[in-house]
Amino acid sequence: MRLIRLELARVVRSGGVTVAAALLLVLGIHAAWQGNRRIQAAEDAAAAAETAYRDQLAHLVSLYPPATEAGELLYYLALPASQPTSRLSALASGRTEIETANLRIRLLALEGQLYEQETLNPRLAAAGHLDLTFVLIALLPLFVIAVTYDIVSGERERGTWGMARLFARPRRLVAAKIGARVILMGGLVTSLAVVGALLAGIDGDGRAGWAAALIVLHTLFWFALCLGVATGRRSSTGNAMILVGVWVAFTFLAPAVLSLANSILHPAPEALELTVRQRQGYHEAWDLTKAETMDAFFEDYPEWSGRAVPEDEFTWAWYYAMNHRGDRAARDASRAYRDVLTRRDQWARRWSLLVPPLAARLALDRLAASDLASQLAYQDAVRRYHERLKAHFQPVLFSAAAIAEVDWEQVPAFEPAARVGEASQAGFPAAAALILASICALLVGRIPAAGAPAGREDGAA
Amino acid sequence: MNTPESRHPAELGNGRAPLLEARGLSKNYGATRALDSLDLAIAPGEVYCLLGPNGAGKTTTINLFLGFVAPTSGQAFIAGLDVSAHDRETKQRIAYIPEQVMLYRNLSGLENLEYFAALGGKGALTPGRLTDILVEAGLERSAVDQRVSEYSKGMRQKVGIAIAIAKEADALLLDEPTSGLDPQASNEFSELIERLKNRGVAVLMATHDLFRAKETGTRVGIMRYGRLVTELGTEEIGHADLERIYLKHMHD
Repeated sequence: MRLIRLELARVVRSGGVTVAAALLLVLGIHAAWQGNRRIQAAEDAAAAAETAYRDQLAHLVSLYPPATEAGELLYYLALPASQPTSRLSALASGRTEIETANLRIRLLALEGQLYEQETLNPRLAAAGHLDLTFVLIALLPLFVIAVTYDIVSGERERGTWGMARLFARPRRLVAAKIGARVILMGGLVTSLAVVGALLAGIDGDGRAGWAAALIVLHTLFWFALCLGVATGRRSSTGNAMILVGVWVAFTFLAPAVLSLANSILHPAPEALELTVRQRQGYHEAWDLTKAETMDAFFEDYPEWSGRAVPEDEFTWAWYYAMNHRGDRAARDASRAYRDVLTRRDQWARRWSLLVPPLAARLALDRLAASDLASQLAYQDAVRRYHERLKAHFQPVLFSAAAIAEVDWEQVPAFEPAARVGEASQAGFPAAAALILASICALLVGRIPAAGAPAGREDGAA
Repeated sequence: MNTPESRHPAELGNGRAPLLEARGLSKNYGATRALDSLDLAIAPGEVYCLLGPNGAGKTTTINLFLGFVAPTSGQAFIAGLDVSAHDRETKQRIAYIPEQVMLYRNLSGLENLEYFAALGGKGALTPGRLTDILVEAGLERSAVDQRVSEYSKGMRQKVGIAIAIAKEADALLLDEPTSGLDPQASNEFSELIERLKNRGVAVLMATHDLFRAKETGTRVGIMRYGRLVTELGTEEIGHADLERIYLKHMHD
């Protein structure tokens, strides 16, 4: 411990290390604080949606005469469908910044409503939020590199390696040096994780446990990689160039290449196309007889077969059946779109295992329910909710019931999507990839053993 | 005059079993013969000074004893153990002070000593004892807590000696240790070496300083082109003799 304490003192006293550590701490705490603000904003928005629904319902009920058909009120009524935000998403915001999980659903055609959200500035969306995952997965490795790239070469270049080697085997020396840096980094990561967890109010459940394990394994992976490179016989400059190159490759290039390959291999239309199809299906119905529209509706809801609507007058049952026709028109495309997104998600998850930091990031997003699969699960939950609303209100529509006849307190509430997969399913593949990659990195590295020819340094006389 | 060819290396020593010994030790760097069949034996309590111009093979000899380079042929022994075969065991018995003692600049002298002591398994030495060792090595008590970046070369050499004392090394290898030191610091350094010699430490010192070699050494060996060309007991000669003999060999 004495050796590690002194080594720690050396590292901390090195110019820049304290500044870099403080900067990381500040960035990490800022990211966690921002993440907490995002969660708070999402929770406020969900609460506001609920309040807005109650206010709108009260307003509509008071606005229309009680004998008015409920179908008219339902045309305007928007029901909240808010997915509770995972506290972990404060640290791993994933896709939450570009896709909403707080829709307000009307009884009209659904497909277009699924993609209705505030317009985002694409430049800001491309940059993304600063979340704690970015600090820990993307920035922290730079700090690990900064304090380890020259643990052997720096000693050689300063001339202390020869002196130190007279006292201990190189492995012991390197172990002490790495041990001190692991303690330093462990303190930093633990501080950030604890502050992040406290700020976001994260419960210590299995998902948080897996997230913590992934962060630790990811940090250790970078230590293993640095150790593998730094114990070679290159110069400090050479080590730094290699490690920064690997960091750039793992953090930017490989994810970009995988994303591009994913898009090429799994082409998907824009969600707007689904909306257009749905709108076309709806508008085509204006040129059809009402019976034709209703026949299509009865195919999906045979329990209402035989409930004919008059051809020569407007009915809300027909109007909503017409909206349903729009969803039918987009149904195949919608399923295909969902399937391709699912394949993209699975493909990215599988191939990311070759890029362990990316695998860790995707796994953290899944644990935080901020990944693509969670977003698709939310959309599925919204679809189910829409169907439940239809099932609830179809008797009202077919009977042309008045607003006063409807018990508005009995309107079904949104049932949030269940978390996608078990925590271990989300965390284990990435954890295994990180462990395997760490072992490979250590095997690649050469820690020269005392007495072995590799440990000798043939210099000029 | 005796030559290595005419007398066994240990014959000039104090009769005790050598702590440092070279037998036919040679080292080639490519086509260059840096050291050629060196035979040498240094007993406990002996200070052997290697003299010679740059490129004579002095540093190579030290590096071979340190195990920093592998011999092309021959063997280097420390306490009877072949350095090539017993790297760890031999390293445990030696200390090394190069021309520039390289220490951790952002640690104090005491912390450096503590660091190397802990590294060498002497972690039980208390800071108080380590401070005493530094003072024994000639460092001012007020300087032990200063960062080494503020030390002069002489102060760093004293920390190097302290490291050797703390290690309780049987043999000390010195490579141009007084180069660049002022006369007073050189003299203090010689006194430290004298103290270690009296404790039974075997010292091998490569130097250009004929005066210091005569003052500090018990024997001197003159090297040229990788060969030990002559070996002398310092009690047998005066300062002027040593200089004359040295220059004679350089001009042969």
